[in-house]
Amino acid sequence: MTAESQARDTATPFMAAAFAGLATLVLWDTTSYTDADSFVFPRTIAIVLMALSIVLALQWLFGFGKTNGQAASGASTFRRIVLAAAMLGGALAMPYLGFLLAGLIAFAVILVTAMYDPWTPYRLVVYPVAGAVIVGGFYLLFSRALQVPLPTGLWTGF
Amino acid sequence: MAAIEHLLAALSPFNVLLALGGVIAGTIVGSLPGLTATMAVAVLVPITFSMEPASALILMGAIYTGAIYGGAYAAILLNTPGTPSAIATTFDGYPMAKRGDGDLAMTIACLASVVGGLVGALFLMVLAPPLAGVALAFGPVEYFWLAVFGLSLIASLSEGNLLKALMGGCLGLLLSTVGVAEVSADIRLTFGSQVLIGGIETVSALIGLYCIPVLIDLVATPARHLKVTQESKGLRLREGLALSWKHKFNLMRSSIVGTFVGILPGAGGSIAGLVAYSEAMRSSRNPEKFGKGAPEGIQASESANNATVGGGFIPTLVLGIPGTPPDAVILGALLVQGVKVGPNLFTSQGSIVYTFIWGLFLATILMLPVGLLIGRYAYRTIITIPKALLVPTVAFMTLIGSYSIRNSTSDVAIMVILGCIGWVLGRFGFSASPIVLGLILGSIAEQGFVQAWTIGAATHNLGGIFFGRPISIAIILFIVLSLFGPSLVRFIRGKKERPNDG
Amino acid sequence: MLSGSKSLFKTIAAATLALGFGTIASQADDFPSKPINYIIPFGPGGESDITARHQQPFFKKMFGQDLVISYKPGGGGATAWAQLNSMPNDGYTIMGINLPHIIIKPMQKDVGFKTEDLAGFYMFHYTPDAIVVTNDSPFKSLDDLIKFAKEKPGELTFSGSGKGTANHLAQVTFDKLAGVKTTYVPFKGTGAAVQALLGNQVVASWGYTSVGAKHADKARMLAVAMEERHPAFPDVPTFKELGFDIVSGAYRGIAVPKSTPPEIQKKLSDMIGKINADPEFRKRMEADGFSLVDVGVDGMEAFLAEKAKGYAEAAKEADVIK
Repeated sequence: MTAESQARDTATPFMAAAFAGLATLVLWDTTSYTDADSFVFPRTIAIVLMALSIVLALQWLFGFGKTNGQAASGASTFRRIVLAAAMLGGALAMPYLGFLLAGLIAFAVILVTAMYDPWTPYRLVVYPVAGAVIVGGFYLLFSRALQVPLPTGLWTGF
Repeated sequence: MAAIEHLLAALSPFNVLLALGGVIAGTIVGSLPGLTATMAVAVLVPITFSMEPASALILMGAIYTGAIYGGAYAAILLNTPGTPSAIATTFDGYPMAKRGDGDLAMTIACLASVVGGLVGALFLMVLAPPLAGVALAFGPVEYFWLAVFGLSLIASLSEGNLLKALMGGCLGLLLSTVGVAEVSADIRLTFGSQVLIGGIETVSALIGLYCIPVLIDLVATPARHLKVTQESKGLRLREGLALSWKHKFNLMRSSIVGTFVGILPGAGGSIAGLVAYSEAMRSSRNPEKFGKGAPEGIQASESANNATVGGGFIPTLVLGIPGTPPDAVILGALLVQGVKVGPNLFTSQGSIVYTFIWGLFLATILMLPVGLLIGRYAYRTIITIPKALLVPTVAFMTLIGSYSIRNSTSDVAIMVILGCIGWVLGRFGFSASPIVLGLILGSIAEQGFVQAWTIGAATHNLGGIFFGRPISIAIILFIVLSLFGPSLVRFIRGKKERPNDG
Repeated sequence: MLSGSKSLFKTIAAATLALGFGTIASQADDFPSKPINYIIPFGPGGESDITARHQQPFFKKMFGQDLVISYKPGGGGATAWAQLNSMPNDGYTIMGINLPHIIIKPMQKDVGFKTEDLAGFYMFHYTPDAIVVTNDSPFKSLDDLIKFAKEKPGELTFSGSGKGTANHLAQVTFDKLAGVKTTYVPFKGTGAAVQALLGNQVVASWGYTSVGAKHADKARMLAVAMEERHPAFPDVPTFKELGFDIVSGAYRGIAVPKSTPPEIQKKLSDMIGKINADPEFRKRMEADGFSLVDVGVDGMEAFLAEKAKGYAEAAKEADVIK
């Protein structure tokens, strides 16, 4: 472990703190349970997690142990965020827009986000059509063949 | 002979058609993350009311076995288990696909699934009534130790950072307790939120933790999803067969492990795959290759999970206690049809059972051509489809899949959020598999522990309950072996060979 | 490939349009004019599922429409019940409800619904509680069991399905009435509780009459918590006969979103009542150990109020609620 990578490793103490915080939260929550059957397991695990977090913090403090995380390099963080946002947005919009519309919008946004090739006229036609077919096909497969009651939109009515 | 008669009944054109259609539909269902075997079978129940019980069983069994196999596709090609049973398939399947051996991985998975399915069906046919006793010999404490055995795999999967793997495992265990507790009915870790009362749904959590990080990284660069070495190598069937023959003991052991875990109600294909994987790794001569694309890993997981199909039918048909969730649906359908399950089913209504088992054999054999063909098509689709369509399609599949498990939009949001957390954790060296193991095994470990403790305290025999029962002792022995065995062997061998720095 | 995609797209467009026209409001007199979506708030394979599956073919035969069963498990039913009132109120969405769940759950913590939020329109059966032992058990009668419990307080272990359930509350009530102390070991569902009983992990089990019916080859019941003996088990005494006033079990019924028009609710109630009256349906249900009850939309309020009192007391006793 070189001094340089040690200096860059600011994430480890943060992660240790986050996990310790989670453990504390769990311990606090277990105090509200009425039944011993309910708290014995989460409490034990939370204590173990707390101990492990402390060990991780100590490892970092004394400079041994290794980091095996990778740094993001040469990749588009922006596209990552758009993808995650589109998926979360799609999930949250489902009850309002209905599954079909929310799914189509999320699909379109992600399609544009994942597009690295130039938009030729051919692609401008084929990709949206293919997307609509895929979304519609899955929609029909699930709602009709598998009888899944997919959410209808509060605002749209379908 | 009666056996021939039942075989011929199973081979009636209608039943063959059902088996074929069932396997095809099942394989497709299984390959879509979020569409589980349970769901596919449940949809079919009303259709089967108009059929003979044996035909209904063949159709449902074929779908079930196909779906368990189909789970391997998404596991290999997208690092996302299509069904929970395929979790252990991701460990080596995806690395193989990444390096350009996806076609070989698909073929190996198909061969292993067929072998596992046949072994499971064979046990069901020959030894079902006596083997049902296994389900009864397993008490709460044995389930507890079995879960601990599964969790011990965290150490093997730790990729060089045991501490972080253990922390991930704890996170998974805590996630498993969110919501209404299954046995004590307390409401835990919801922090007043209605959304969390239903708990973290396992399948949608799996999709999130495994698939979302892949998508996030896929969208960030223009590089191809999977490496393609040469143009087309076909099915690589010869290579796959050679590897299967080479590792025949692994296949047999894993199939038997799968059958036995399948017999245990509530354990299921995911645990079977994990236990078989763990055993394959322990007894392999090069365990360091596991997790980096070892064909043996896929073989272990896939043969074990398909063996649970036959295994799971044993307690279902003999005891009336469903071995796995799809078995529960099938059992319900049989009850409504007026078929009384029990040991007598094998004697008094033998024609139903044996026709069905032959049908299961048939479906499993049909899985070979069907699986190879669909698998090849799936592989070609994944490597040729442009990224701009692949990413949104998979993303859309995760949305619809995670919704459909419980018809819940909250599960979709939880899936996406867990995926993002998983991606961040992955950046800092916390991999997804320990979290998933904790999540899957948490409730089994907890329930087993609490029940065993209650019984032990009531009978003033806590030590005897936890450490005094023969099956428990055997499982504990396996845990110790898989945890310390490899380092023990290395210690004895001395420093002849230095461990690889992968 | 291209033309194929296009025609598929056309199909989808047509289907979407058809879907739009399908939602024209229907009237009470031609109800039901399309399939009814029957949501089970638990996973497939449980008793709520099986009894719904029993109803399915009769519904189709009598009323010409499909009963489409779907599952929405989570939170011991709470997830589904909390969402019921925001679902379509045209009568084409109905949902299973279970006692004591819908009474106990809202008493524990805020689970997103209150008992009175659920518009139940029919309770169609209950599965009576029963004490079950294996066939080779040394306990031949309830008296044997009580004697053992008195000699060794706490050592009599019962498996049962979960806590705060009918099984658990029956155990608590029984302990109080018999003046004994027994140990209740909760399992995940009836199947797991029976597995523990048959494997001799516990001495006996608080199960249901359906357990006695399904596992008749390996287990027998010592007493059932019914007013009168179950028709399928004329030899098994009731707790009442033996001097313990316990009539309990898991009641199952069906509810609609609260804003569903009363005439539709009445119609649904009559339909389920008609299925319940069918001799073939009765025969099948009773053979599986269920016991039919008929509480229609009019008697629902009184029925729930009466049950709620008893359950609340037992739940307090059991420390399930504070």
